[in-house]
Amino acid sequence: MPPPYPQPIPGGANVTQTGTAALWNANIPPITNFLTHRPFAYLWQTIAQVLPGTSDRPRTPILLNAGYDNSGAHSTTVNTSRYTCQLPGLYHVIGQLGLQLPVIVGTAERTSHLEIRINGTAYTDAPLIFDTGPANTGGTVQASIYAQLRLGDYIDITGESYFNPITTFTDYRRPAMFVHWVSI
Amino acid sequence: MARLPPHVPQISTGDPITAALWNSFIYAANFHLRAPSALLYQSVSQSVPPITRVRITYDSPVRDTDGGHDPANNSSRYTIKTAGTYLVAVASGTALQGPAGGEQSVGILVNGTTFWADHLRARDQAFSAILGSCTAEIPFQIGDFVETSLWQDSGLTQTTIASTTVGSWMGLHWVGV
Repeated sequence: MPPPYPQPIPGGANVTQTGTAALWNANIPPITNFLTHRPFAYLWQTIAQVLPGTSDRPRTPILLNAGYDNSGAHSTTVNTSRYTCQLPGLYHVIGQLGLQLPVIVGTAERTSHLEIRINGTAYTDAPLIFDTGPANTGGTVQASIYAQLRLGDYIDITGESYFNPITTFTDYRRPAMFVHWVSI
Repeated sequence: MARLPPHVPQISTGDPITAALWNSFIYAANFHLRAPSALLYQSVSQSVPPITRVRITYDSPVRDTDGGHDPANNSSRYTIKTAGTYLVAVASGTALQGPAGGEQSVGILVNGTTFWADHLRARDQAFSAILGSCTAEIPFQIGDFVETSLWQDSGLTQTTIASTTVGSWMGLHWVGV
């Protein structure tokens, strides 16, 4: 259920007004209760995803099938990689990518990349550098951005693969996205 | 100091704006101006044995609005006093001892059992220190606690970098309910 999005308070009372219930109800509870329930989401992946192995380093949207979203901005069944803006404003977005290594399954490539995108365009990129020695345990990386979003803009994160397929983690190293509204 | 997330009620037509009603607004405004938050640092280095998940101890709180951290007892913990979803960010790392190799990870651990985020990376390159950081939004109930976990498998005991700049720290703030 989306929170009750307020509009900016239109202005103060005029000199002849007194503190009526209507004036109160129109201004004070909406703005203060909105701040208690501002839009946020924590989304992650519980089903392993195999990023395809090709020679052109594809950036594959990461599917996020679990978590919590308080504003109807994410679906666990349709376009699950996306957080779609329901209230315009400034958002803080954090992405996490966690990938397994060859001894588990996947690729001989030593690096991958995490991108955070808005409407399919990358706004940041962080490399994930794997260990090459024994006892490989994969790797994780995070990145974050502030994003000025309009109604309907969507955010997603991608992972890069190269030559060989590579598989995401589903434990605490799983891919995840955290989003919260900062300001109109 | 425990606090309740604020809620300001609607009222019926003709009802007066009472002192209690007005005060609910004042409480909400002040809550949002100084929402629960904390910033903790480590000023004393800590040993990190190999293949051991060490919980970073914090002895130097910069701020702690709700009294969720005690530098004398369970100093690795921030204990939630006000329920809600928080943005939690942690950073930690070690100075190099011995050759490079293996991996190192910095994670966010909740109630001693559940990891919410982790930064796991190689220690292959030559370096004098290796640090990592991670961030997560986490729903908390009163009494839950959050810690910074540091792990490495270099084969040697490493030592955390204790500093108020690039060392180990944990910061958090309340986002909403």
